Amino acid sequence: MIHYEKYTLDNGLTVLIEQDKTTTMAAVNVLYKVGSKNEDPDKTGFAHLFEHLMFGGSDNAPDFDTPLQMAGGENNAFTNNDYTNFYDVVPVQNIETALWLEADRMAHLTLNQEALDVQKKVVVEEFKEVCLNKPYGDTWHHLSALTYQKHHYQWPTIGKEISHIEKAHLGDVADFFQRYYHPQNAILSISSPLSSYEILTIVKKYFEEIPSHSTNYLQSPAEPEQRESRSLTVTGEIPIPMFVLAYHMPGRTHEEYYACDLISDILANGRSARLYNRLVKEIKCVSEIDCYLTGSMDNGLIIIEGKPAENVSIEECIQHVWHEIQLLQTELVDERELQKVKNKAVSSIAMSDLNVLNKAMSMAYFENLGQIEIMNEQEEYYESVTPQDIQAAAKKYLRLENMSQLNYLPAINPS
Amino acid sequence: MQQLRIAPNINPLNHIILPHVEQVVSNSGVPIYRIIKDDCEVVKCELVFLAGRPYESVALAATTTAFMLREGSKKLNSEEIAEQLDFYGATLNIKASLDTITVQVVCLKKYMTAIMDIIRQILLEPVFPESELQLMKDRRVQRLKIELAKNEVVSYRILTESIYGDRHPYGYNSSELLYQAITRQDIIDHYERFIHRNNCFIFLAGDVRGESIISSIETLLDELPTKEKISLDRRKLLIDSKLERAIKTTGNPLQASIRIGRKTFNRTHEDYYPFVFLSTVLGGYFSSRLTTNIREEKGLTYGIYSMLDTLLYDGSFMIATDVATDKVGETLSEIYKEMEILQNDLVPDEEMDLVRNYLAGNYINFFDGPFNSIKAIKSLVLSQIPLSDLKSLVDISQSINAHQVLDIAQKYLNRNDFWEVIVGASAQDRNID
Repeated sequence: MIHYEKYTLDNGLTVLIEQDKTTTMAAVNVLYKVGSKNEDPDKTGFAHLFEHLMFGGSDNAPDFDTPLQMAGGENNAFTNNDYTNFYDVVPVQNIETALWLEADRMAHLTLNQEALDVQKKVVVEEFKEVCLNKPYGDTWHHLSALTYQKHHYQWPTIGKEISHIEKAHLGDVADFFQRYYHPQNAILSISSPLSSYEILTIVKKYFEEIPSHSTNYLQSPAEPEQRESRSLTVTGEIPIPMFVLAYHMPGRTHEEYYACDLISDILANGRSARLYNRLVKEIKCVSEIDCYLTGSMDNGLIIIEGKPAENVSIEECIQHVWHEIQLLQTELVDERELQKVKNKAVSSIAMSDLNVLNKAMSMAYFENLGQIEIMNEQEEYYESVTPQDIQAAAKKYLRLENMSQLNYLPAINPS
Repeated sequence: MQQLRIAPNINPLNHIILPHVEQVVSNSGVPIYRIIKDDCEVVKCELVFLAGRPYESVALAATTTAFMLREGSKKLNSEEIAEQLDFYGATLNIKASLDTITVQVVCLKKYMTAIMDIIRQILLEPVFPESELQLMKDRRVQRLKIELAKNEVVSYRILTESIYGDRHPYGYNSSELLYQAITRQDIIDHYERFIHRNNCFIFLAGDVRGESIISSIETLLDELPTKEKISLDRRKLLIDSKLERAIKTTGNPLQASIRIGRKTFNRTHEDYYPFVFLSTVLGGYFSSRLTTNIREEKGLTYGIYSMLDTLLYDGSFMIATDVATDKVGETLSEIYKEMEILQNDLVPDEEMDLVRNYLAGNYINFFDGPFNSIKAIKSLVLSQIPLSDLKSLVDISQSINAHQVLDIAQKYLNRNDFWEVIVGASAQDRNID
């Protein structure tokens, strides 16, 4: 349970404050409502590149990191399809430094050609390190393009291709800042031992006068319903084959999200999960198997991915996966198994609420979904899922026509 | 926006609140360290056995024993153990680090006694079924194939093997052959020699005062066998390796993985704290010299860092980065240049302050909350550093001066003492002199 208070400043900035008297640290989180789904299809990877530029200094703090480290703090950021998130963790006596730094870069970030050129190179190396130079590192390049035909989820956050990053112009960067980085499009959340009154006083001091801009955001088109199964086989320098099955499902705020999440837990969360028990331990057809949701705001995916055991074909593994899916569709899950996955969901929420940074991020995340009140109702949503809900969701989404299959095969047969 | 023009004052960080650690001894003589937080729904319990690689008779005995413990006991088979733990929403990790086997559980307080009963069966009555062992081997070998396709994994393996030697407990690498060679009897032997009461420490965090929790732990400890503690054969820890440059060319030449490193020392060494300071200046935080030069000024890499890795009986120091293959030569010469500067010039006062504060912030964070604190406490206890030294350790790290940093740099950052490993670059494109 996170006890928060919510305020909106006159410039439109949403502020969420939680007081935790047992900690000596403060977490400051700033979420900007812009992700790779807001990018132009010819300029992908831009939201993430921009995240890097946010560390290049601002008018009154020419270097972002030094004052924060001097204050005993650490910071980082990440970008995904839906949003860009910056965070600072600092001993509470220096929380003001973190808030000042975040306000100053929201107000007037320094943008120059030199910084852009360096960060373009850094991101190109990141692209190579994370996507090109690792086995299966380009999974999401292939899978996003296979599963989404209209929606901007069709490219991964890092960008569709390196050339998009290399041709980013300073003019584009300035426009992007103007368009997306202002109070109206941001959520500031803070978890610390200080009272909301103390926090709000500092927040107002630094953020109140930052102007908001227009709200003319680039929106992604919706993804039309998939009507027949798709598949793609990639051959490459990989040690062993891999398969990925992806099924469309509704976005994060849809009521069926919880049933889908519990389906993924029944199939693959923990060593007692069905796919692990049947495919890894009994039949021994796969060496690894997993199932999870992408959990995106718009239409998301249920993913099942596995690596066949030695000398087993992908087709054989998938037969066994289908058998497990059919069981979910034809037989109601028994009470103990359903209670087991609910218990796991509830305890993982309790564990994540122990840390100031998790709590600050959680508040911003649920506020960005437009429903912060459901943050503290998660347990109830999970508890209310019935065996019938599980069966209905399995029938509705885990269908062949709604599936995309990606196969990875080694280029050279090791035998 | 007048307010933004003036940077807020930075307050001193000299007030580090140390955790209150209760140190007790169980009825059966096992040391228990606990940090209590009332009204905390979640509890953590960790049993640590000194049973890692230095104690092995057969390579990989520690990691396979750790993995196999949960794969079946006299009363519960592997599936039943998994189902019960999952039903209680507990996270049980049993793993071998280089020095230890640890059994760690995090769960809701209300289920702790039930979980301790399962752990009791896992630890007291494991059966190590042959079929589970074969399955584990097959899966480990498959996973190893994937790991060996990553430059960063291969370069790390070559570096540590070079530093310690390929027969040293900290130096040898897992391989398909080693996995295939290990037998059920090897695992039973390792278990019987090291999983006992006289070789065990317990660390608890959260609201762990309840009588039922304490008595479930006491029950488990009472039943753990008492055995003679086996003393370590220190000859195994001697190092016999000659310095050279290891270069391995792999199939994917997009990026090369650079690892350079040397042997150092364990945590009780007098140079430990000044070295941590030095490593932070060089590559231990975002404003470090290496990150500033190689990432933020030249854009050669997504990341570069240095790290002091201390183990119970030894340690190593490493600098790691991945760069475009044609930038290997330039990157290496910049790394060595930064090392040399630290050997020649005193770190300026402002930078000393920055690192001091950064490290003080780290300490405050280490000791924030029971779950962070217990991790820090565990590392001190295992290194046999008395907890009464806690306060002075924080003070020592804050009082290090630029001359000490220079001395340590001169002592440890000589290029000729470093192994250099490059994986992924071919002979022509790496541009090395």
